[in-house]
Amino acid sequence: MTATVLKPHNKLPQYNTVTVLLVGAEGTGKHELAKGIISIDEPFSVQIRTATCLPLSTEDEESRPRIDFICFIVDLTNRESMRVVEESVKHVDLRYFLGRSCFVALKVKCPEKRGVGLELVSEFCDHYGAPILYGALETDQEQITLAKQILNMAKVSAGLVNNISPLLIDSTRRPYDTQLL
Amino acid sequence: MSSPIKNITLHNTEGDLVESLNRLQKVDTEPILTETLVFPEKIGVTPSCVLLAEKVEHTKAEINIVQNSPLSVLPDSKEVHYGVIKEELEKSLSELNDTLTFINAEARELENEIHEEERWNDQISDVVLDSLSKRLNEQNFETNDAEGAKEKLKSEIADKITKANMYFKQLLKDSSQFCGKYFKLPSEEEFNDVQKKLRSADKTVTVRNMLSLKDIISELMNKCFDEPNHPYIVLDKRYWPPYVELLLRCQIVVRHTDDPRRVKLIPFHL
Repeated sequence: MTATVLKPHNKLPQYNTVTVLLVGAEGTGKHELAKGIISIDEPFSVQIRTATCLPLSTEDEESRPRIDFICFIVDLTNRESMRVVEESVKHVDLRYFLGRSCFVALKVKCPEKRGVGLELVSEFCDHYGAPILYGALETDQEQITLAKQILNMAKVSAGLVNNISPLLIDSTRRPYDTQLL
Repeated sequence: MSSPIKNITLHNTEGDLVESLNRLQKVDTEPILTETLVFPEKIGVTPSCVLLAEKVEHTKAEINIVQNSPLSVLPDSKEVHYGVIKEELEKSLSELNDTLTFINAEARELENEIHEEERWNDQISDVVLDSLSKRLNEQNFETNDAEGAKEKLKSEIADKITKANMYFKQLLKDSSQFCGKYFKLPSEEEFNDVQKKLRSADKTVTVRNMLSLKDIISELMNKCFDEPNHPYIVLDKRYWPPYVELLLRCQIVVRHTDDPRRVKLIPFHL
């Protein structure tokens, strides 16, 4: 159990590289999002890993690079995706939630098809102290917007931005539940 | 990086570089943090206490690092300063140039847009003016025409009335001609024969004061219009019985239900 928990500091970083892990159930559009992130032109190299759930298998533990940033993808029309995320979060080290992870809520445009309540998601995110990105992957524009937001955070958590730490970003954020302010 | 910094002799930076390299190598051999912190089970809505505690600790550590690390200043060399400043200026210059081109392009675009809008405005106002004046003309025409239409209607109605009158007169003439031709009053002999046959013959009635079919019909019609509630006429000796019989048989007149001497015209006009 302890061996399979993802930790942010147990490996050395690679030079000028950002590694992002996308966690989400089947059919949530991880690969579209990954393509969107890779298509953005940046002066460093970007690696994307995808997983349908955590924990990751122990076999390729050695060859896996250090994961700088984790995105948990929730499809709001798919209850299974929420459940997968809830399960996966248990296999992640607490230090990832100090600004090195985010939740992505997809398909926010059609509230009538929603299977997962927004309150549930924001409550969940408040508990884990991670930001939520709301978006969709239907058009290229939406993909790029979402990918840019993710990459900006990933860049900071990989230490590629001078004088800015992920914790600094995190401490400027407010919880979603206004009662917690 | 084709910056001028590269070409500068690195006498005073060389030592720094070596020092950094040594530090990095030391980090590489140091044991890596492998302790695991797992999230406790989710309870309630509030952020987890463990998470908050960890946050505080990390924040303190970062503040400590920032406070204790020496300010990184450029090496004290005029050439380095000159190079850095020059590079920055060039960068900002090129950026400003880009901005200028962008703004020029935008201004041109906006100008084009304004022209387009003006053109549209002109066109639209023309169209609106056209349609408004057209509508105004129509309105004027209609109001002028109201009097004329009244007059026209009056004359039309008068025309109709005269035509109807003429037709009515023609009909009267025709019917009187027809009656006079085919339904003559009986001759003196005929009348006398009938008078002789009838025992109850009234001697006061002569051929001269008999009423013709035309007179009977006109009397019936007049009665019909003068007293529409009681259009009966009383039959007496002056009415030639065969004609009365004819009218009855042809269902032009009907008898009164109670009084057999009274007859009335069938109300054809109703």
